[in-house]
Amino acid sequence: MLDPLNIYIFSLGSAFLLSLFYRLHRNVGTFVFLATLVGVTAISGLGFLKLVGGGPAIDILTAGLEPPLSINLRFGLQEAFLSLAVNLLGLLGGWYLLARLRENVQALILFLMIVMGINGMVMTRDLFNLFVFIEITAIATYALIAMERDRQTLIAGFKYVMAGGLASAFFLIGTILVYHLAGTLNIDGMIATRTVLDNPLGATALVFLVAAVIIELKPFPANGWGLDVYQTAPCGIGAIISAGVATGALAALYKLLPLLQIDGLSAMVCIGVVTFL
Amino acid sequence: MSLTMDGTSIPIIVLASGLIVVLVGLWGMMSRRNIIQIIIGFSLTDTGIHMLMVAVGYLNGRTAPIIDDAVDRTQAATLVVDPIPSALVLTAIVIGLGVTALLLAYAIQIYKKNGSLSVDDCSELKG
Repeated sequence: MLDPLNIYIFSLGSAFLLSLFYRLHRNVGTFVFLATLVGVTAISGLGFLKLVGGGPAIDILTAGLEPPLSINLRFGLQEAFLSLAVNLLGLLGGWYLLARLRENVQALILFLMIVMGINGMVMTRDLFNLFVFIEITAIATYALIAMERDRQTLIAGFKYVMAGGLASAFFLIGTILVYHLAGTLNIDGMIATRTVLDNPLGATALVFLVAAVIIELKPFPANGWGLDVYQTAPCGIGAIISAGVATGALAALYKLLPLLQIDGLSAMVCIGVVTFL
Repeated sequence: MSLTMDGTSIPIIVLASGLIVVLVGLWGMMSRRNIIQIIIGFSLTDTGIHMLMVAVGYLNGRTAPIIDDAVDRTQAATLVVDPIPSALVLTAIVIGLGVTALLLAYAIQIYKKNGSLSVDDCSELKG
C-alpha cells in the first residue's frame, strides 16, 4: 500500500475514472479528486518518514527486470522530500482552487496529471522516461492554462507552449545523442560510463539536455517566458506552474548534474548572471 | 549495405536532410508573424528531429528487430538494428502530435478573441 508506485496508480486510476464519478454526481467527483490528492500525499509523507528513520531507499523496477532492460524509479530521501513537497503543494493548491476546478471535470483530471507528472520527473532514473514525464506535465499544464478563455492568458499560454515545445525538441536531440554514445538510457548507467561522453559529441548532447531542462526550469533570464503565464493565469494555477513544475525540473537538473564536468554548474551560473545584466 | 547508387550511405542522407528540416522549422518559428505558420515551423522542427533520431539509431546492413525464421536467434544481437531508437521516435511522434493539436486549439481561441492570427496583434507575445 505504501509502495511509491501507488502514487502513479492512484493518480492515473482516478484521472481515468473521474469523469465517470463526476457524471454520477459532481460532489462524488470532487471527493475522489481530493481523496486522491490526500492519498498520494500520505504515501509520499509516510515514505519520507520511513526514510528519515533510516529505512533503505526504494528502487522500483518495472516488468521485474533489472535496468537497463527496465525503467527504474528511485524513492530515496531526496526524492521522497521533493515528492512530499509537490504532493502537499498539489493538495493545498487543489483545495484552494476547488471551487474553480470543480466546474469542469477536465480541469480536475488535468490537475491530477500535473501532480503525477511532477512525481515522475522527481523519481525516474531513465532519461527517456524523464522526457515522457516532462511532456505529461507540460501538456497538462498547457491544457489547464487554455481552459481560461481570457485573451491575455491565451496569448501568454501560446508563448509558454512554444518555449516548452522547443525545450522538448532539444531534450530529444540530447537524449538520442547520449544514447548513441553511452548505449543506455539509464542515468545511473550513464554516470558509471561517464568517460564515453568526454568528446565534442558528448558535450553537445549534454548542452542540449541541460538547455532543455533549464528552459523548463526557467531560472533565467528572470523567469523570462514564464512571467506572462504567472501573471495572467488564475493565481492558484500560476502557483502550481511556477512552484510545482519548477520543482520537477530542478529534480531533473539535479539528476543530470553528475553527467556534467565540474565546471558545468559555474558555466550555468555565469550565463544566468549575464542574462540578468 | 544500405548505399545509394553513388555510394552514399542512407543514414547520412537522412541525417543531413533531418538537420535541414530542423533548421527550416526553427527559421519558420522565428521569422513568421502568422500563428499558423509558426505552428507549421514547430511541426517541421519536430519531424526533422524524428528523422535525426531514426538516422542516429540506424545501423548499416542490419535487418528489422523481429526474431523469426530469417534471423538466427543466437546471433540476433549482431543481425538486427537496435529497436530502442525506433520506440523513442514513435513516442516522440505521439507527443509531438499532442502538442501540435494543443497549439492549434490555442490558435483557434486566439483567433476568436483577437480576430487575427498575426502575432503583431498579440502585444504580450513580444516580451
